[in-house]
Amino acid sequence: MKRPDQRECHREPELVEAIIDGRWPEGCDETLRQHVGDCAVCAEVAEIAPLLNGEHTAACHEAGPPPVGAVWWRLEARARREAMLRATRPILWTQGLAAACVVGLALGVLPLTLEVLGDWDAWLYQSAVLPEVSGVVTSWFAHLDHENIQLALIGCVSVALLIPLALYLALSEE
Amino acid sequence: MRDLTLSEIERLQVDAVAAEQPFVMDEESFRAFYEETARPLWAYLSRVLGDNAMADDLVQEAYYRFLRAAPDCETEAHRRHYLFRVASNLARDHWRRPRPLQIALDEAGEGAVVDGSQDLAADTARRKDLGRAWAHLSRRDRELLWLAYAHGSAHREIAAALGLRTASIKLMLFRARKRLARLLRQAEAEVGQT
Repeated sequence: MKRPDQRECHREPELVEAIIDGRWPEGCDETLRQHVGDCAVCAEVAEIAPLLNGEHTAACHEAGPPPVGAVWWRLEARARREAMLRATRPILWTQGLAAACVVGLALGVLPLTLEVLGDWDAWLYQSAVLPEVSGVVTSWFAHLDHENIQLALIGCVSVALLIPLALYLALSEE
Repeated sequence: MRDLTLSEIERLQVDAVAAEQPFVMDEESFRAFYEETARPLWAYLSRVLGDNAMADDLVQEAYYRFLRAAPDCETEAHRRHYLFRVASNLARDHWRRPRPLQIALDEAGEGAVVDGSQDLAADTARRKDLGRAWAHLSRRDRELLWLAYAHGSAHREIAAALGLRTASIKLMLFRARKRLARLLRQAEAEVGQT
């Protein structure tokens, strides 16, 4: 007798197995067919399961999974890349910290540098330590006024600081 | 320079080994496992999500996570359930909104209506009804119904694949089945009216 509120039936697994094996309904014994006629749960299962099973078969035909060799190669390459990243992460952190220290130090000594640079062009004119170099430099600097010399020196210092930073950034990408 | 601690050395060694041989499972075992599971897994994700393109993406992601997790499975069945559990978690993460089934009706199915082949025409109509009804089901209902009636998984296996208690499956499946049966009857009635 059918009971609509019935939640499960002990013959449901048997019925599902028959449907999935393609034995339902002709290949099943009469008792199961009769039971499905009497049981609300099994009647519902017999209505739904063949549809879903058919859809499963259709979907499996439709599926075009990539070749296993290609998948394995891709997954392995990804795992290696991630393992390498994990292994080199502390080094990258250390490099980043070092670069930050250099920049911080440079910013810290910048006011002092600028103060020294204020008198440096005068020192350069009077320098007797390297007369030849001094002569060439002073003749070149003679074409520049005081402000331009300061700008040129600030530029040189900035480049000297930025080149290592740029090199670090370029190499850390590798 | 700072000395490396023992734990750091151990970790670096583990990472080096991982870079050398990233997965516990070897290629031969993976081949066999993939050949057995790739199509059902795609079918599951495609029908649960209602999105074939997303299923394509998630299948590879599921295998990757499965291999990375290196579960200690005693049997092939455990291994398969674990893979479906990973896939179910991915489906949950990528679930946007209920979508209808992307039913690829083959030419024979479409042509049958014209040719008058009653069985194929009826089959096509039933699949369309299923597609319409499926669109109204939640992700959880789809997972339960698919695993139970498309795969033929037992309650214990469904619980393992979905990370639920076996005791909960009975009631959840009962409700999902009722919903689908009702929706199918509605879909049939709508077609009958038109």
